[in-house]
Formats: sequence, C-alpha cells, structure tokens
Amino acid sequence: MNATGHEQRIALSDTSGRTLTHASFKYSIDYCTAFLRNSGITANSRIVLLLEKNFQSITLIHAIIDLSATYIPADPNWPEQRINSIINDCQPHAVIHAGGIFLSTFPGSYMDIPECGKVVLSQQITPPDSDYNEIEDTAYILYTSGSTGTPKGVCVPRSAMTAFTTWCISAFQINSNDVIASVAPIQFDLSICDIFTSRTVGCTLHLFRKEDVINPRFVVREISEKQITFIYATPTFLSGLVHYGRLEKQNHNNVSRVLFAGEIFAVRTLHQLMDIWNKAEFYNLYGPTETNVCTYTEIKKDPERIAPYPIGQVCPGHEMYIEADGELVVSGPHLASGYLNLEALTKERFITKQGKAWFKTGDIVEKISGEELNFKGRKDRMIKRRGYRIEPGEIEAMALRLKNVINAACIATENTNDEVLLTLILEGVQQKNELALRLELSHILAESMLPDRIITIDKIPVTSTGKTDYLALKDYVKQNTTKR
Amino acid sequence: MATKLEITQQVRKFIIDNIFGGSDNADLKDDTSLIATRVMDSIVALKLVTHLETTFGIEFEAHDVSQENLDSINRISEFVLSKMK
Repeated sequence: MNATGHEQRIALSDTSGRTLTHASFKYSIDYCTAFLRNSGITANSRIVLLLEKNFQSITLIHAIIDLSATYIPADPNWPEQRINSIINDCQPHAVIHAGGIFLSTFPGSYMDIPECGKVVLSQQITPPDSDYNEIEDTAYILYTSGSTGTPKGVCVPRSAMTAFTTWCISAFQINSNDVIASVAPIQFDLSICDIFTSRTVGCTLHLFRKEDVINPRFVVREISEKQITFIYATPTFLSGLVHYGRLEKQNHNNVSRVLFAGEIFAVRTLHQLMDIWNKAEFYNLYGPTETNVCTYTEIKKDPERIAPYPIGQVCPGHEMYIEADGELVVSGPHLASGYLNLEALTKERFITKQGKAWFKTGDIVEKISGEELNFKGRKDRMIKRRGYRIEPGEIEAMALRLKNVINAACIATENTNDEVLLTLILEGVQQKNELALRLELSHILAESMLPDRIITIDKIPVTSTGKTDYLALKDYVKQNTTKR
Repeated sequence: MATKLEITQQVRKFIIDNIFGGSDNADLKDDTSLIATRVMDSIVALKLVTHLETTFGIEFEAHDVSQENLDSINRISEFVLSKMK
C-alpha cells in the first residue's frame, strides 16, 4: 500500500462511530505540539491530563511525548481530594481538562483540536517551586494505590516506554492491519501498549469509553462489528464477556491475539473464552506498574489444568532472581525509575546490584520447569480486585477520615466465583446507615476502591502485640456475609 | 404476568442479598438511587440483569443496560414491566 493510501486509513475510531484518518491524526498531534510549545511547554514539562479517553486525550498524549514532556493521567471522576493530592505531588506546569466543573479551579484557554474536540489548557496553577526536583526523561507518571492513604506516582522513563512498545510490536506481531481495542483507562499501564504500538505501526485504535467497558453485550457486538483483531485487558473484563456478553451469538474470527494481565484468570472461565475464540492466540502478561510487563507466556489450553497458568519467563533483555522468601526481583529495560518525591520508598523497592537497577516486586513466585515462573501470592497486604491494585491500608486511611470512626480494617475475601470482595469494618460508628457511609466514602475514595460491604463493629480485635487481628476479622467476615 | 409489587419485591430481595449481605436495610427505599450513589456497581448491575432475564423471561438489549433503567428499585421494576408487555 502506498503512502497516500495509508494516510486515508483509520488511525482512531470510537464507539459512537467517529473516525480519524492517519493524515488527520498526524495533523491534530502537530496542532497540539505547536499550541503547547507556544504556551511555553518544553521538554520535561509536566502536564496533568484530567480527561476521559477520547480523541483529544490520545492526541495530547502523543503531542506531549513528541515534545519530550511528561503526561500524568488523572481520572476526572476521581474524588476532588485525590485529584488535588496528585496535583500537589507532581506540581504540574499545566492541567488540561474538558471544562465544566474544572473551569473554576483550573481556568485557562481553549484548544480546539481539529476533528477531535475542545479541551482547556490551564496554566493558572501555582508554578512549581524553583527547587522542585526536575524529573528528567520521564514519559509519564502513573499514580497507584498507596498503603498510607496517599497515591504514589510511578515515574516511567522514555527509554522504558520505547523499549516496552518495541517489545510488544515484536512479541505480538502488531502491524498496520490490526484493529486494537483500547479498553484500559489511560491511568492504567495496560493502555501504554494500545496507545503507542498503534501509532508506531500505523494501525487502528478503537476507543472504548468507561460506559462501554461495563456493558459486555455492547463490547461483544462492537468486537464483531469493528473487526477487532487485538485485545489487551484484565481477566475481569474478559470474564464479563464470557458471563454476561452472550459471546456465542457473535462471530469473532477476527480476534487473533488476546492478552491479559493484572490479576489471576480463573481457569474455568479462561477455557470457556478460549473455546469460543478458538482462532486466537492467548498470552498471560505479568508485571507491577513499576515494571509494566516483565514476564509473559503464551497460553495453550490444557483441559486438565485446574491451577492458574504460569506467568512465564522474563521478557527479552530482562533478568530476575528470587529471594529466600520467594519474592521476585527483576531488572531490565521496562523498569520505572522510581516513585515521585518518595526517595526512601524508592531506595527500598528499587535497589542497585551489580551496577544494575532492580525492582523488588513484592510478589511471591516459584520456579517451575526451566525459567518459567508461577505466581503464588503477595508478600504484603496489597490485593488485586477486578484488575485494580488496591492497598487495603489506603481504604483504611480514608475510612478513618469519616466522622466518628475510631478504627477501620479492610478485609479481602473470595466468593465461590473467584471474585475478590472487600469488606470494610468500622469501629466507633453507631449503627450508621450503610448507604450513607457508602456515599460519604465515595467522595474520598476512587470508585475502583469502594468496598463491597461496610460492617460496623463494637471493637476491632487486636493481637497480643496490639495490632489489628486481620485473621480473626477474616473469619468474622466469612461468618457474617451470605454468598454473593 | 407478574404485578409491579411482585417485581419490586423480587428486585429488593436481590439487592438485599447481593449488596447488603442478606440483612434488610430500612433506608433502602424504592426510589433510592443505586448506581449514582455507588451502592450498586457495574458488576452487580450485570448480575442483576442476568437475574431479571432469568426470573421474568425478558431480554435486555445492549443499550438497555444503563443507569437510567437500573438506578432504583422503582425504575428497574418499571423497566421490567415495560419489557413484559
């Protein structure tokens, strides 16, 4: 296909039927880089993108990267408190948002991105302190759950972003004929693969909004109608298609690669999906946000298999070792550089050995045959629920801010469908209405972190050393909840 | 054909069992907002849809699964009734 022909092919499309050709996409990205540059944005400038996933945000991400600046995605639906804490932490040079309620806090000038839509560029925020650490060469900062209540920013260098993108293209043969389903939100590291491989190879990126993603029947229809070839999503998302999406009603011979990451995929459901999408290759990818993806494996269906599939071998160019307690430590080109403004924590988790940087994942693994690894569990209390990383400590810290709460404990249990449930136990609140408590919490906690149940208790049990007795609480929760 | 009251009771029972662990909650009124106030999340909404389809023999189209139709016990019941006609 000649250059002119390619320019007219679709670069971006969305679920309302809008499309953007490669030529228009390039033009819009150039518009953004020019606008930003004229507004004083330079290399290493930090820009918070307070935007949903749409043509505007995707275009801006590329423009910011092209300027060698840093983008920091924040979900506009997050509680105000969380958004403010992120902005205070990263001290951005600009905040870009879609207007509306953000106009008063972040006034600015409109950018009318050709064929995409309007956004507001706000530079009316307190300029960073002159002695604020310049973070060199950072492509993006992704905020993840922090056990003390404050989210922590994972800084990913441009070299890591490029290395990861190049690996994805090679490992999964991504090419200009692909139609990639963009399912993960832009605050999530799964989106890095979708966004950057599609532009590099010049294929189509089909954007699914938040509302679309929670509607499996719609997604299933869209995968067929838009001839999606490549999907990278969480097991929760894919299980939703199996359980609620009526997959059997659609022909999905177009789906050729399915990648999943973020949590364990229940084998029963995975096998159901593999039976329906029997023309596709399936891959299990593993890695905390701090490493993006560091191990992976192709999954071939083993009908006898009961235990979850392995997480595979380290990615090319990476090394690993396992500590005495089973903790996986990895080194290689996909690694983040550290946590923003958290020197002590960065030193603790990102260690230097043999002249290389390594990341202590906190995940317990075991070696099976050769260099293959199995995931066994966590070293700490961090859990994955629906693919989201949650520190129960963050939920507890937020719960302590509720009126009358003396103590709080967050317990994770699993129901018969392998789903992780979070129960928040509160001490001090007198028979308060669970509905009212949920509403209060939803103002200070991101939606993905809201507990499934809230129980009040007279006194949270403690161990002999005075710490919360989580084991006793886990039993209490199991006894006090009916099946879900 | 089920009456609105029967439908409302069924829906209420489902929400009690799946969101409130089986213990009834006097503050849960028929017009209490469920999705908008984060009482019911997207996963429970999907389970509810499947339950309604099986129990009442109706079928939800992709566009029917929305906050408008699922945001309160009243709205859910009205929607189910409209599908049964």
